[in-house]
Amino acid sequence: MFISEEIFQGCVSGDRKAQEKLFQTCYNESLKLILRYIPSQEDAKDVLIQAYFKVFTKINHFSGDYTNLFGWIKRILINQSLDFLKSVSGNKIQDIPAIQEMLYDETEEEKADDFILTLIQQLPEMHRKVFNLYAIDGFSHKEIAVICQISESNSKYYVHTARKILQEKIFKVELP
Amino acid sequence: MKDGQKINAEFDVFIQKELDNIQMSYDVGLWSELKQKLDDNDSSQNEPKENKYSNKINHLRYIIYLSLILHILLICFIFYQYYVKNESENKKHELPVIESYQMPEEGKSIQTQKEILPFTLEKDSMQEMSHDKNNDPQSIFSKEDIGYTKSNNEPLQDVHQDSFQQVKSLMPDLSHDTTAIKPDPDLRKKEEIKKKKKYIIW
Repeated sequence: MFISEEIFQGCVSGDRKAQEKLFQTCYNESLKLILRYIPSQEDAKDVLIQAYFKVFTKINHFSGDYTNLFGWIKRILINQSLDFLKSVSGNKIQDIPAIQEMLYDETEEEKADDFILTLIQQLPEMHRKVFNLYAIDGFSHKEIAVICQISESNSKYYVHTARKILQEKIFKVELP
Repeated sequence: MKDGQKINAEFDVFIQKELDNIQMSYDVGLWSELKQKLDDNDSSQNEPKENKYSNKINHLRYIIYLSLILHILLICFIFYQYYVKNESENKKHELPVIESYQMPEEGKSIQTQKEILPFTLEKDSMQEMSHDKNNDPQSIFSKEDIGYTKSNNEPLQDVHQDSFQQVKSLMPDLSHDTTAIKPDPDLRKKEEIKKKKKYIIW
């Protein structure tokens, strides 16, 4: 993804055209990222708007190089998604379903373009959250423990379980 | 790296590649919604800035007014404490002005410029006078000054008494003279009223 300096400067000065350009450029990656955390399309789009509103209003605070702008935007998108999940689920403790239940309770998936995304979305919330943070977005178990307010060993457990579920489901679709 | 970890890392890369291949269709409505939100924010941000600024000025103005009023009150209080109150206290302690005192004639009268006492005072009034003088520490006149030293308030008998008697015998008898000055029976009351008035004024 390429974000030019012109677009960046335009966004800093509040130019709507530059902002639209940045939104268009980052739209695909941004929505995919949010959808990994939030399965609902409607909710994901709401979160996307809120996140980009934050991006455009706080872009003056971005002190790094414009080539790293998407890294900063990505962090905002993740935080916004996690905040949304927090507000939806509140502080209620979710029961962790048994692995066997998670593996075989789901209907068989057909291989579509976004079938991996669908499989990730079907993971239980905490598994999905921790797996996304660790395996795809590159957070450490220590950081995840702080973000999700769990222990590091719990984080490792969630990643391990999520991988196992995904592998089983992928093999099932690939090798029916 | 252990085999398990290697497999996990490869699996993660596979997932990432699969995710990268996904293309999301662009929703134009999202941008217009976002633009609207940004426009609203810009317009709402411009207005409160002025309000905030004017509110700050008003706040500062109120503080200045309040401090000014407090200063004025403080100055008034200090003025009252150091000038008005002290002055009134000084006046309280000030000795009453007695303009001049004439030495009384032998056994007859005490005379001031302002008031003329009767030639012969009654016994009660003399007692009262001597009592007042005893109680008044600021009195500058001793009994000797005014010619009365005895407890019965009789005129002092001194060396001039004989000559006085001689002169008296030569003087015509004015006891039947209606034009002669006689003691005023209401004088005592008038004196008391005057004294009271003086105290009220102070």
